[in-house]
Amino acid sequence: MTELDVLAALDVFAGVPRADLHRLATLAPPTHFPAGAPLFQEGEEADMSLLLVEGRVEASIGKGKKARVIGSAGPGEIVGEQGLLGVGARRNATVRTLDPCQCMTLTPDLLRQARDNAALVALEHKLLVTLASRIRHSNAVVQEAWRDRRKTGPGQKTSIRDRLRGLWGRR
Amino acid sequence: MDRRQLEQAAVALLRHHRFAGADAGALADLLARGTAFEQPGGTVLCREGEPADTLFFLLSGRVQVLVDDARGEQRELAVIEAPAIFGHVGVADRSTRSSTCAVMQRASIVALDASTYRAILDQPSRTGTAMRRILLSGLVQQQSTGNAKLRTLMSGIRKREERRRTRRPTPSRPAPQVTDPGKLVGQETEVDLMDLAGVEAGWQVDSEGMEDLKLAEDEEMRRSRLRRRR
Repeated sequence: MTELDVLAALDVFAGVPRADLHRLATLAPPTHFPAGAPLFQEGEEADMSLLLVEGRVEASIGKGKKARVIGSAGPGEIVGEQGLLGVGARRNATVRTLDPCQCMTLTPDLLRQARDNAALVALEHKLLVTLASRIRHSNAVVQEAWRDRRKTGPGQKTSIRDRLRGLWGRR
Repeated sequence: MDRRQLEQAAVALLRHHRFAGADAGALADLLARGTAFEQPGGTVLCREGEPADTLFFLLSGRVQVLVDDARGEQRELAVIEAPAIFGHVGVADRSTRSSTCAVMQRASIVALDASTYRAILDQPSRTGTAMRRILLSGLVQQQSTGNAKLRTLMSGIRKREERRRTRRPTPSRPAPQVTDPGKLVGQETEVDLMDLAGVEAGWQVDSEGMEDLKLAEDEEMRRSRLRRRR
C-alpha cells in the first residue's frame, strides 16, 4: 500500500480526485514520528497543524505532577488547528504520539499554495465541522452549569457565572 | 452597497478575522452575493432553536447574544461588535441556532441565505476559499477566546485556594471557618477543573469537571456573601 493509498483511505478524502491528493502529498509529504514523540508543547507559538494519517496521539495540559491527559485523536483527525491560520496563536495543550505516527503538516503557506486543491477543500470542510462541534459541546457544558445554578442576589456582579458569560466571545 | 463600500467592509472584516492568504477582493465578492440591510435596535435577527439558515456579517453596530435560562427568561451571553461574522457555528455544522441574536444599536448587516452559502462553501473558487477560511478564522477565534477566559477563571480559583491553604491565623484575624473542606480545596478538584479546561481546548468533557465548576461557583458566591458582610 503506497502513502497515497493510505491517504485515499481516510474518510476525510472520500471522493477526492487522486490527482489532487497526489498534489497535496507532494506539497506536504507525510512525516513519520516514533511512539512517545512530542509534537506540540502547551504555550508555544502555533505555526502549523497536523493531519493524522496513521497512529494515535494524546493531548495533555499542565506540567510535571499536575500534567493531565485530556484527550486523544486518531487517523483522519486534525490537531493543532490554531496553527493553520498563521495568526500567531499559542498551543492549548501538549500533544505527543502514542504509537508510531504518520502525519501531514498543514501550514499557512500550504493554504496559500493549494487554495483550489480539492483535498485541501475537503480538509477545510472537515475542520469547519470539527470546530463547530467542539464549540457547541463546550458551550453546552458551560451553559448547563450556568443554567443549573441557583438564583444570585444583587451585588454579586463578579460571580463566576458572570465571568463565564464571556466564554461566548465578549470582547 | 457599491463595490468600494464592499471592499472597505471586506478589509475591515479581515482585520478582525485574519487568515493565511486572505483575499479582500474575494471576500468583497462574497459580500456582494448577500443581502445588505440596516436594522434598528431591538430587531431580532435569529432565534435559539431555529434552523441556522443565514450567515451574518456585521459591518457596523452591535448585536446582543441571548439564551433562555432554566425559567425561560432571556439572559445576555455576549455582545458582538462590528466588524464580525456571526451565526457561523450553525452554518458550519448545519444545525439549529444555539442562541438568539438581537440588534443593540442600529446595525449594518450583510446576510447570506442557506442556498447561497451552501453553493459557495463547496466551491474551490476564490470566493469559496474566502468563505471557508473566514468561517474557520471565526471558529478558531471563538474557541481560543473561550479557552483563554476559562484558563483565567481557573487560574484565579487556584490562586485563591492556594492563598487560603497557606494563610496563617493571626490574633487579629482568626482562621477562616471552612465548612466543607474536602469539596473545593482538595487536589481532585483542581484536576477536574483541568479536565474542564480540556473541554475548552476542544478535546473532551466528563461529568466530574462539570460538577467542579458548580462547586467553584458555590465557593465564589460564599466569598461574595462574606465580602458584603464585612
